[in-house]
Amino acid sequence: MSEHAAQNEASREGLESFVYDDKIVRMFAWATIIWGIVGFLVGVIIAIQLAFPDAGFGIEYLSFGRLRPLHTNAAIFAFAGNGIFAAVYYSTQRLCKARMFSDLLSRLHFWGWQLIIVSAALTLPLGITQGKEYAELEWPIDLAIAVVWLVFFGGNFIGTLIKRRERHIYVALWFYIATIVTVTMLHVGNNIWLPAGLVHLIKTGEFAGPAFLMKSYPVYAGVQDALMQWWYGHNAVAFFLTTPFLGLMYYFMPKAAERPVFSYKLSIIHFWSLVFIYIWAGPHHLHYTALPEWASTLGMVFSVMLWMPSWGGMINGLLTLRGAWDRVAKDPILKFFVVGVTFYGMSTFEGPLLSIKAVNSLSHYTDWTIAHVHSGVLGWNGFMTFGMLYWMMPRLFQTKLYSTKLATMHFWIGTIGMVLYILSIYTAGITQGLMWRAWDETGRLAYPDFIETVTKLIPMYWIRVVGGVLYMSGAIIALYNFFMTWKARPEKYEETVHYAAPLSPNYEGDPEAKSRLTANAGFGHAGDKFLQGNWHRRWERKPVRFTVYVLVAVLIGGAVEAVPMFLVSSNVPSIASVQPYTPLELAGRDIYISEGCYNCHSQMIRPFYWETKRYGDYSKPGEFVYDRPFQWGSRRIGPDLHREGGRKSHLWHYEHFKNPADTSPGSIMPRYPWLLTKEINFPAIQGRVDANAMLGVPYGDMVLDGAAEESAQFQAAVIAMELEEQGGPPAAETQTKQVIALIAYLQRLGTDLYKEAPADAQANAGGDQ
Amino acid sequence: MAEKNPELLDHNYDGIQEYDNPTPGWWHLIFWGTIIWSVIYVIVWHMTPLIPDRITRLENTRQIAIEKQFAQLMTIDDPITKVRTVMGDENWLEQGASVYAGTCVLCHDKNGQGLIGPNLTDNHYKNLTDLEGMIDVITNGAANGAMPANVNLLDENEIALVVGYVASLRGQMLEGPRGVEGEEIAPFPEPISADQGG
Repeated sequence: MSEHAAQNEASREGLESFVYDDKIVRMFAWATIIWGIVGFLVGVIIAIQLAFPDAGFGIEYLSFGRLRPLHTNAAIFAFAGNGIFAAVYYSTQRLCKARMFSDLLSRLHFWGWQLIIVSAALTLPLGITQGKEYAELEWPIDLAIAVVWLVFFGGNFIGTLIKRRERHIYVALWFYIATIVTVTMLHVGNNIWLPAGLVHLIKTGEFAGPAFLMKSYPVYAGVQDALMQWWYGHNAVAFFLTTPFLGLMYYFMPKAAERPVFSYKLSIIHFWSLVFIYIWAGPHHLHYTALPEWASTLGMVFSVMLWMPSWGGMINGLLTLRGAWDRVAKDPILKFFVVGVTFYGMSTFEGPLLSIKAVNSLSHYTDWTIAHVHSGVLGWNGFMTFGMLYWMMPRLFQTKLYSTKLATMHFWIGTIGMVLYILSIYTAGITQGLMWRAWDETGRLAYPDFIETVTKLIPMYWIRVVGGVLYMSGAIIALYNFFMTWKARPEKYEETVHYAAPLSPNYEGDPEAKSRLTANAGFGHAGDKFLQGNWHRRWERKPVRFTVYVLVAVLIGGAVEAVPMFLVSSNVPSIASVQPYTPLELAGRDIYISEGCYNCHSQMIRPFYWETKRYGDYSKPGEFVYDRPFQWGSRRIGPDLHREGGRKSHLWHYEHFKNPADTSPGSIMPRYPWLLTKEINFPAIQGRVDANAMLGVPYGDMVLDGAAEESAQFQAAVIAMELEEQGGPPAAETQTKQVIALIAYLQRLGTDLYKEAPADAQANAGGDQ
Repeated sequence: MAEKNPELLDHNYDGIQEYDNPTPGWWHLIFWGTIIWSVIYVIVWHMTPLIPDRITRLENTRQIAIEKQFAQLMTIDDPITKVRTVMGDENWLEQGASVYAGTCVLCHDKNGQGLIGPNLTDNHYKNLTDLEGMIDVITNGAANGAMPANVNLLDENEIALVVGYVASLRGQMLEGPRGVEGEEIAPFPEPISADQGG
């Protein structure tokens, strides 16, 4: 016995000892499953609201427009986010043969991230939002995200890479590097704002309420804001929901299957092509919008080119299972992984398909997109996460999984739920898309009344609810299974001590690259050496340099698309008659954003006959130059609103907000009774106008002390009077209510195009040309 | 292990190994295929005049649709004759109903019985006394925005269609929620039926 120990001691000479930090992984793993269930639950609630709109009970904090961002943020940043962190903290330590760089940073990362999630869960239902999809969280939370992500997480991760004891960094780590670098770039790039409330407080010393203190306006407006948002939005899918999960796959799948990875060469080529090409694809979210067509084309062709780089990951995953397929039948973990990777393959085929302009003209604004993202998140992110958790939990708790049977049951319930969800919503999307565009041989729309295209979908919406409930039930079964596994943990976790040599500064293990070609192949020798990939092997020894290369790869696409959009004015031709919103309209617009109207209503009429027939003239880029943020939307659960101005009376809007079902029988819009009773925040209006003026909006005399508030009071009184004349309640009752500001904004929408340009604006526009 | 399987690389990360398999040929074929297709697409779409831009395509479709929809109506110059022609033809009335369903239904309800706006099926009207007045009200709005303007939304033929349809609702005397509003006005002129020769 002692002889054995002495022998061990001798063989460990020159080695360093270390213990992996599994406690942090356990914390992230619990957070993953718990936030996952919360995210699914909010999803089920809003799914019920679409089938049965009164399920919000007329309570503002439960309205669809406020809860939908909570659902998406919870699913992406809380469920998938914590899942990523669990995967990274578990695998990175083992792939680097090193404990995480700093336990303190690990804890700060964990608690910082949970705090961000809690603040999202509080602010979003309160209507505190930036109004940009998946970037809803307001500026103080944005700052927290930047610090937690880049400093705590990124710093900790890079520190671990630097002090690693494994010479080469494995492909999983490449994907983690790409994730950390690119998400930082996207988050910062899309969240450059002016904190209007804070500036107002500092300048005037007046406090206009906590919600206004958190209010910001993006520096970008209209077309540029749209481009930046979907550069961010699409690449959040790429670098938050794809690359980290590919990293997860590359570690946990070969581990669970106990098989080598299919192809190292494929890893290299699909990694670099994926990170380089993905970043260009954003504009495919804006086909046929006011975005210039060249950008739209770039978005499309790069999406199509992205097909094979994505499938490289799927192939490497599925073919790694060669020789282990017999075990898939018995092992729920491998089942989750196989279905997860298969869904990845389906989504990444469907993505390029949807990015083709002609297909997109049908799918855009419909549930088809919703079905697509759910096959990605439920199938790929969800099932990969569950597979990982089932593999990891018994190891983390140093015991056996409580029940393999329950895990298999979770797999089947989840799969059936997913299939019900996706098939019903595909059907809904394609049905509605076809109904919108149908026009008959006499040139008229086949379904001119929008509501007809909604009521048709209700049965599909109920099937979706069933699918969502099943998927959530599966996750609850998993939580129970994990809880029972945890109960069987040992009294004290065993902390295995590992030994490895530190890396020496020099490395001479590279095989000499030899050309396999005949002697007189000329330049061919260099090409053949390149193809053998030894150069990449060298990169894998230099993680910092590798990180810089990744950064260069992801900077190119965004720069090529964004720089001309900002610098070349012909991309957004100005329209002289388009004028800034009045102070009241601006306040109304901020209510529109705060209520999350963009979750159901687009403001973008595409240049299709059937669309102009339904909504009016197609939207022009110059009409959005004062829109901070842009509100083009991505889904028409309700009709487009870009030319809503003047189409209905104030009274119609008033009654419609009170109860949409009264004015539009069959409508699935929730009631907004609070708009009729809540006061407009008049003291904040000057701050809103001043902030926009600082961003270059020509507000002229409106920035003078109190001028904006005075103007807003006056316009509100006029609208309240008109409302009364039209048969509404007495003006004295309504003129300070939020509904008046919102009506002011809606009645302005899209009307400037038909106005005479003011004399001075005409002169200015003439001067430009 | 490495000897037994020559494809296996000497990589080992926490027990994970990697094969040296080549990337599948079909993968390369499709990948390069999409790149070549992209180049061709950009050239054809943006650098040659083969494909008209999307605004031109919209205008072309609009022309075709307008031809189909209004070929006959467009030959009639007098707006009242136009409306009376609509009133006398089932097909035109059906088209009028379609415009109504896209525009008016929200306030005047499905059958014209009124909701936010007045009942259109009785003999009482607000803001107008004849068909010309109705054309004006629908085009330019009335009552300070209570009745919205449609000048930017509907073209004059569509306005004739919807005026004809709304005029045809008169006299059905449906029960509405708002009661009788406005003044009783003189009957509208007779429809011009198709066989009378329009």
